[in-house]
Amino acid sequence: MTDADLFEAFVREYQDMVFATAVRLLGNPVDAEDVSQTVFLKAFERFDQVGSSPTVAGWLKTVATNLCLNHLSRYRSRWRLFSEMRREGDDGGEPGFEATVPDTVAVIDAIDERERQEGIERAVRQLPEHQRVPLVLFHFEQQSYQAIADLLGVSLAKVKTDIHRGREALRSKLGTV
Amino acid sequence: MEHNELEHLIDRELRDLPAPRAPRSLLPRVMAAAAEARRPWYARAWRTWPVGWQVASVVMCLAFLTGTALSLPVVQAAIAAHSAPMVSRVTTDIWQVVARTIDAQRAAEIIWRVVINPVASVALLPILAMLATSLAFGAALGRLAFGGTPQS
Repeated sequence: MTDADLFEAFVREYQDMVFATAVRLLGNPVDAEDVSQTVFLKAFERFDQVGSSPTVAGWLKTVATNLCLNHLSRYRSRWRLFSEMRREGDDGGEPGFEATVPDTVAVIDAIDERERQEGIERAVRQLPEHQRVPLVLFHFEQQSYQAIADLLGVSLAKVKTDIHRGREALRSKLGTV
Repeated sequence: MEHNELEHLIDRELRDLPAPRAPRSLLPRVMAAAAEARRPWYARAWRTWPVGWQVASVVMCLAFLTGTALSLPVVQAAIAAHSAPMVSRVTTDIWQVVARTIDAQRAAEIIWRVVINPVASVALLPILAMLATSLAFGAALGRLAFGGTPQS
């Protein structure tokens, strides 16, 4: 088996895991595919060490998470602007994401488990970034609140607030399922 | 609902979700990028070169362009200096030929006007009369000598 064959088998084994991490953090399959490619290229550069490592899955997840956060940080200013606009909207202005979720609940109510899960997955991706990223890091990547605050460079209180708001939004969706 | 209850509920729901599957295009993309990464850096796209080499290549291109721009007047002057005598010699030769042609034409005109034209107008009738007399004398001599019209 050549090196190329070994690497192809490696990518086949871990591509779903890496892509899942990326797409949940970024909420965008196109960007997630780009980031996943970069993750595997980094693995390729040090395939001699990484390829046979028992901790390779954790390494790939860490690299994917960091690359996604780097990707998102390019839009950090826009992200913050939208976050503040959303907060103002919560005070009685335009309805935010949370207010629109119940509209889709009735549709999901009657469908089977798989479609229900797809609906939840979609709902996670549709969360605003400042809620989705810490929520995904907490529930899918098993990061602590403090670790998330350190990773994102925000306060612990903001992380907890954003995650709680994200959960509330998802609960609205789950409520009638 | 309490915070902890909500956390457990959401955690359970999210953990039950199947992992999204990677698109089919990811593997070919990664393998193509890996094949590209195997090539030496100078054989890859310029934007993937090491930063130092990118800077060096830009500096070299700028140096080449600047050198070309600065040396252009010098090159033009050198070309002009080498080509001027040759152009001058050819031009002189052509001018001399033209001048000689014009001189010859003028000389011919003068000769015609001064010598040939007056002589021709005066001598034309005697010449024609002499020619006619010669032809008549020749015809009469031929009849007397050979007894009839001359045979062609």
